Amino acid sequence: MALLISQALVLHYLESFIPSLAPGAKLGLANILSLVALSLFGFREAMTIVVIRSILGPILAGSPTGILYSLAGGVLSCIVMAVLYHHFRRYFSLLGISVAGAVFHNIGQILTASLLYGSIGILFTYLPILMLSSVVTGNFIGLVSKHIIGFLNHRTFYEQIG
Amino acid sequence: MKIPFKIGDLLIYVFILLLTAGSFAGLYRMGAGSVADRVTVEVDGKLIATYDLPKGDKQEEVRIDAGNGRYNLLRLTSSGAFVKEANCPDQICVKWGKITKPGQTIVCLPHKVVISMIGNREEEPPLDDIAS
Repeated sequence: MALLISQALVLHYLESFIPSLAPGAKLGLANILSLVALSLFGFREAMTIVVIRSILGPILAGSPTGILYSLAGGVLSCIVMAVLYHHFRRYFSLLGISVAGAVFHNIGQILTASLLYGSIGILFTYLPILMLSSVVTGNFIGLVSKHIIGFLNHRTFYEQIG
Repeated sequence: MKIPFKIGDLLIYVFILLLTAGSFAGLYRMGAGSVADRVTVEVDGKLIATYDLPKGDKQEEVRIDAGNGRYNLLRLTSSGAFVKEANCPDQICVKWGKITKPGQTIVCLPHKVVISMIGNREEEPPLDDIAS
């Protein structure tokens, strides 16, 4: 578990150095870990990783104001993905779950900003482009997660953690 | 490479489309019937200033002071407003570009700055009273 957490933190930190193509659109690489943890361990573990990553990540990256947004988006995203994964996996592909996670991660963040500043215009202005980036990044993250999960499932548990 | 696509995925994409359409509709309603002519600047939730957009070819620049040496340079043109430069770490506000319609906003989260375009809803200026 600690391994997963530290990986998530590292990814979050490194990602802050990647210039984003679209404003506010991050790749969300740390979400790979969320999805993998969700699949291999379960909701509680995945949520733990998300919360720790959301709090420590922004601190490490040097912008503690980001904690609130990271938490809001991350928690919402994790809940949505967990529900989809554990109850509706028949109907959703892993890529789709990842996209849904990305969508709600962004919704959580932009909703927080809108509520904080009392301006619904923020929500309306930023949502379209965030939705587009959710689709792109969600699919990418989902694909990576899918391969990692597949790879890890083929090896014994103790080989991974030991 | 096989790309899996299941029926639920379609639901997700429809949801995304609805949200996007809703956002455009929301923006349209906010700006409907008014002309963009003023910009408000809020720092940390407090309204700091309102600026009129200049007319014609004139451009104005305003330095928004976010405290502790943090700033955003707001450029006002007759067609809209944008952040020319800022010393925030993520530069999202600068990359965002120009806002032109009422309801649109530029946000700088690290600086807690919100720049909103507002417009007047009056169709005509009130007629002056003519002293008889």
